[in-house]
Amino acid sequence: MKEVLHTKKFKILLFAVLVLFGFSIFSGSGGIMASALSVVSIPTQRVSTSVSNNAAVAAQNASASKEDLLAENQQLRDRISELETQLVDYYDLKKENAQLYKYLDMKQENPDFKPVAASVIGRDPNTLYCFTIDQGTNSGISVNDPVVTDEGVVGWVSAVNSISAKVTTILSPDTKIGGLTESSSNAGATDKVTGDSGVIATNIKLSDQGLIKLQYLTAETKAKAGDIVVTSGLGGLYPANLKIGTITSIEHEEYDVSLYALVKPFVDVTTVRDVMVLTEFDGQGEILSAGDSSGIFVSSDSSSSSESSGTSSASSSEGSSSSSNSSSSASSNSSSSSSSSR
Amino acid sequence: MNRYSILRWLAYGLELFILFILQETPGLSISILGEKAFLLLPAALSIALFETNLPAMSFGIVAGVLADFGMGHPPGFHAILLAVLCFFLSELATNLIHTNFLTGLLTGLAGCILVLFLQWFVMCLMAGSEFPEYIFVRHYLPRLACTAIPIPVFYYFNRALGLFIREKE
Repeated sequence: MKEVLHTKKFKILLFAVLVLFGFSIFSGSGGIMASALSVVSIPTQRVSTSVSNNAAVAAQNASASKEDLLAENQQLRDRISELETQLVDYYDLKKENAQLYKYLDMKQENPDFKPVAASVIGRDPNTLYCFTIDQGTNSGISVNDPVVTDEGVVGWVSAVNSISAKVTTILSPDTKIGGLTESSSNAGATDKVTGDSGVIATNIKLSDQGLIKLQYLTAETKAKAGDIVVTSGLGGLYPANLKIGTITSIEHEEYDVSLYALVKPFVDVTTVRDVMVLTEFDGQGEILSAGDSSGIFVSSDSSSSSESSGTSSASSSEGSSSSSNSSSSASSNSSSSSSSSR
Repeated sequence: MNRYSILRWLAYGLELFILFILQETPGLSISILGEKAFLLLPAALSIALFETNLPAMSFGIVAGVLADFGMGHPPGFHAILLAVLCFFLSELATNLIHTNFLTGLLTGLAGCILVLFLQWFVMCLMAGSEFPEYIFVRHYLPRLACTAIPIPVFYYFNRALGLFIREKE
């Protein structure tokens, strides 16, 4: 066995390891190799996901009675003969229309949104609470773009290449909506009923229960079970008033006296199939303080407003873009990409 | 290198690509407690048993690059790990051990345990994740279980490819 270490083949192995090591250090997740691989794999994944989804639907129908199936069979045969006269791309347009129709209300309420429809085509076994979508930089998607459905926030784009992107969901411990400065609570999420604000985060134990938490609630919080939590739009990463979830309970932190709320997200990120990526919206990349006169932060809690109104420009960021930063510590959305993998 | 070798390598490449698609597509691969099987891993390890060290290393790299791509990372961690593992596994199979079902099963299992443990160690423990022991028990052990289940299938499949697509002596 020791002779192996002196062979030419072992030297080739060492060379290959060095090349791969250099590649991993100097290339980004959106590099040439990733783009090249995605050109081959993404269309195949689209097809296989479509087949898998249709098979799941067919399996559900298998439990129906024989008479029902025969009647449905005849009905479907008649329908098929009708559909054969339709245009070749009718199904593609119908699917796209149904998908986009769900977002029509959102678009009408928020005309500044520039959404890109995408489908979930892959869930890697080595990552937790992340998935791959079939749109990338070619569609205008970039890292840190928020990902939503008509039901609420799904997550954010953590890596992107030309025709696909990786989405880290709100159940991932790497996601934090909003940030906290040394001198103020610069909230990223708000209780819509009471106006209490905090930071959405989670840990793996809560994620496995399908829960996230709204941290840094004040001791005078009026938040209670049943309240709806929305984004505040302060961090510049998520637009304001996107639904996140419903408070299930208020708890004390384990190691200090602060309070947090357990939140059940509206969107089941483990089964979602179609999403929308917001590539542009008003206020994107602009970090605002809670007392900013632009009125993006809405609070009915007068004590928290006065506490935060005296702060200078906030330094917390939900992403990497910020034009003015103080020296305050802030928690950001993305840690290194390796920590999002499990 | 002859046409049988090229044909065999194309078959291995196609196999790894199909397995990558299978493991990525929701609902298509084995799942235990919500954890999906890392199908590329036992496939690359079983290919290494039936090939010489350089081709084994190459397919380890291919499987590792696909795994890193699926995670959204640049090729690195899995590519290097599987390259080294498959190289030495091939050496082992060529010079030290007799390749049969039992050794295939044991080497496959050992390789899966090693890779997943290192994955947890680097991406979870060293990365400073909260509750690493919980992640190991709740996520990595089920993942190891469903990754290990198809080892016999990959062994026999790649054994068939390795033996039958070969120049007759």
